[in-house]
Amino acid sequence: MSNEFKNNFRILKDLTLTDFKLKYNRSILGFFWSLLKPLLILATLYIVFHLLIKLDVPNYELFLLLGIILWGFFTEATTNSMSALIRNTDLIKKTHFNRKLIIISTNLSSLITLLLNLIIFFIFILIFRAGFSWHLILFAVLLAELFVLTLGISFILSSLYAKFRDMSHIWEVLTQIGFWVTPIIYPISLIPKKLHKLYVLNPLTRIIEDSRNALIFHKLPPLDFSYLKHVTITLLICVGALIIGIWIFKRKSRKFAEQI
Amino acid sequence: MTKKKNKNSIIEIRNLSKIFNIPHEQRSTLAESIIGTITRGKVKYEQLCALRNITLNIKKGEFIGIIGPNGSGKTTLLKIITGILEPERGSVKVIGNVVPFLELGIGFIQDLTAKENIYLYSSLLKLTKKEVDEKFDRIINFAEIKKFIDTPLKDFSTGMLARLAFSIAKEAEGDIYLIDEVLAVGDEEFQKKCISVFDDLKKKGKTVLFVSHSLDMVEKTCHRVIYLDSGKIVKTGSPKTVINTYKKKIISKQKDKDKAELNKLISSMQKEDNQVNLLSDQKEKHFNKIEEGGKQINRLNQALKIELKKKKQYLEKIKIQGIQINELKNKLNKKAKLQAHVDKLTNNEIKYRTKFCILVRDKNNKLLYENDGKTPCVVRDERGNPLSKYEFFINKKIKSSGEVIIEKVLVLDNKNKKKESFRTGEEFIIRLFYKAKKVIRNPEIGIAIVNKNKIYLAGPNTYHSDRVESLNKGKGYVDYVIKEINLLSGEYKIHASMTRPNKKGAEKGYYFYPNAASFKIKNKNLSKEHGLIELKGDWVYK
Repeated sequence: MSNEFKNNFRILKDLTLTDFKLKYNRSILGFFWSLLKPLLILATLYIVFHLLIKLDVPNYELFLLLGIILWGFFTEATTNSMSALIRNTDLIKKTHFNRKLIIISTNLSSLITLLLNLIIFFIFILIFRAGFSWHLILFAVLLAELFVLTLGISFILSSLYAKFRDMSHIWEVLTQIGFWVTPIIYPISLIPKKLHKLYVLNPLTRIIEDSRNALIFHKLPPLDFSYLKHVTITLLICVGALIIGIWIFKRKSRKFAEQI
Repeated sequence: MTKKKNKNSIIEIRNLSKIFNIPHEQRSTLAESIIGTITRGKVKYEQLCALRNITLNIKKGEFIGIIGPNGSGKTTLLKIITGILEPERGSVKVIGNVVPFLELGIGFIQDLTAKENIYLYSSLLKLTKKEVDEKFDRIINFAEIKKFIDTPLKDFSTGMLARLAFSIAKEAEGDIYLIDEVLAVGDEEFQKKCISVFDDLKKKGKTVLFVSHSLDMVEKTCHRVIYLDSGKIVKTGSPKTVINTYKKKIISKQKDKDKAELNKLISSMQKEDNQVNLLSDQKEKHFNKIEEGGKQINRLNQALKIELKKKKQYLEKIKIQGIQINELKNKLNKKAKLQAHVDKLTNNEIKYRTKFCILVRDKNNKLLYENDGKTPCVVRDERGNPLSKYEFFINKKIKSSGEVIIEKVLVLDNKNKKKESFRTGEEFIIRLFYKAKKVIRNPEIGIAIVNKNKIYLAGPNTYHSDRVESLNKGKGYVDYVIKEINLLSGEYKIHASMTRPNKKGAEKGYYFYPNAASFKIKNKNLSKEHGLIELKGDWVYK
């Protein structure tokens, strides 16, 4: 059993590195591009929402950058995972190993990009003198939560994509909508209280908000009942997504070799 | 006994079936499948049974050959053993590490270099990095791709890929090797290498499932051979017997094919035969027809001969008739000539008679025709018949010199009154009115009395009387007085004439007035009349 685990771990490591390598296609510019991308988006949004619309948020550049990085990870990981099976047709048709490893490795590869982006974010924190605090540990937990959520959705999407090739378009539209209904460029406090119940259903809301509190504002969330309820719902959604994702993926993976 | 056997076996397959669902309609997008489900219901599948109820035990260390025609399920079986495909029914138990080499290769990532692929694939085959490092040189040497280790695999040829795949596979520390058609890709040298690899694997006591179409290789290397056809195991056993069966089957299939072809040929030949028969029948019919036609032609010829004879006879007849016609024609010509002659003669006569001017009048004294007396002519009546000599005579009126003209003739009684009807014995005066341009001495005046039958009854003439008189210039009249007319009952006409006296003849200056007047004699007692005139004679008895 441990031998098998070891084996899978090795395969996962190799697949992840391969995926990461292939993503930037061995080019240094490609790699830097992945770091530059959130900064360019940041610049655009910053100009629009801070200088033109004048959103009054303290440390808006850090606020915005963290949101962009976390959202970017979510979309990149899910989108890449969706097509991962198709990209690795040869592996699936001619070799036998745990197919989940392909999805996990794609997510891990995106996680590497996220971590690299976070380095830039920390550089920004240094530049803007936002400082570090023990709340960083909270962020690690939130990151794990985000990864679980992303992985679960990736499993669901890749299973569907094996059969329905228009899932990529549907998902693209959904992420576009998601970008605006998630507090990425604005704080949740700007949203009317009435809509907060709906925002609770978006697990990314609390993950991003809490991440900002932890990393930028160095404060704990208000540990009241409604917050705890929110935490519970987010956790349930993340774990639920993973369980459902694995369940669907297991069922569908039997036919992958025939469908792809 | 069986339990023991089962313990030995490394691969255990029970009632294995694999069905591929081939959809009738491709629905590869969510939109298509939603629309398709709404409009046409669930997708219908055609089921292709790739493997049917396969039960197989493979013991550790066995070198198994799998043979069979294309599409018999060999690769599918290997894929199921590998775990790539899941069977619909039955179970597969595999004990140990499976090293697959399927469909001319293994799972490579085309964008990675050969080296990267070797490491990645080795890790998929559960080799550690250390192990790969050790085996790396052997792998690239075996695959003969030393130069290309940093080339992305997408630039590799199929043969290179297959060689690389096989060389990685052979280095994998597996328990079971599934090798699908490796020999098809390499040249002879590579094949030799493969054979040495097989020997090596055999020595190591590895279990090998070897799919190949190269029957010689299978016979040489395998312990046991499985013969698959249409997803079923046809035979398993020692290579020789199974391969013989397969060969026989191939031959019999070929035979069947040949037979089918032969049957086709035979049937087509039969068809042709039938056609030939049909044609020959038709030919016979045609010949019969021709014969009949010949007979008919003969009959017709005979009929024609008869007809010709008849024609000859007719021709002769026609000849004779022609001769007769000619004779008739000649006769007609002669007749015409005669007629012409007659006409000429008649014309001459008329010429002779019409030396002078001719005036023709009708009954009512209307002038019908006038001739200057020089042009020859025939005078004809209303029906076109030439007038007789006499008729002509009475109708002619010679133009006078113009010195004297008889204007009119009247018949008068004794009281000088115009009268038409008389009785025999009555006094009777014929008065001729004339018109003279000068005094004419001793003229010749004559009248002619003609009865109904144109009989010239009397013609008193001054020429014959001795009296010499003169006609005065201008208008006047001359009477011819008959004291007692002795004509009997009938109708009479008077022609009158007046000429100048001439010693030679009386024809010059002649004025002839035909039908100048008419009268009737009517008596009461016709029975007493005999003949035309009453003679004033006396019967004397002596």
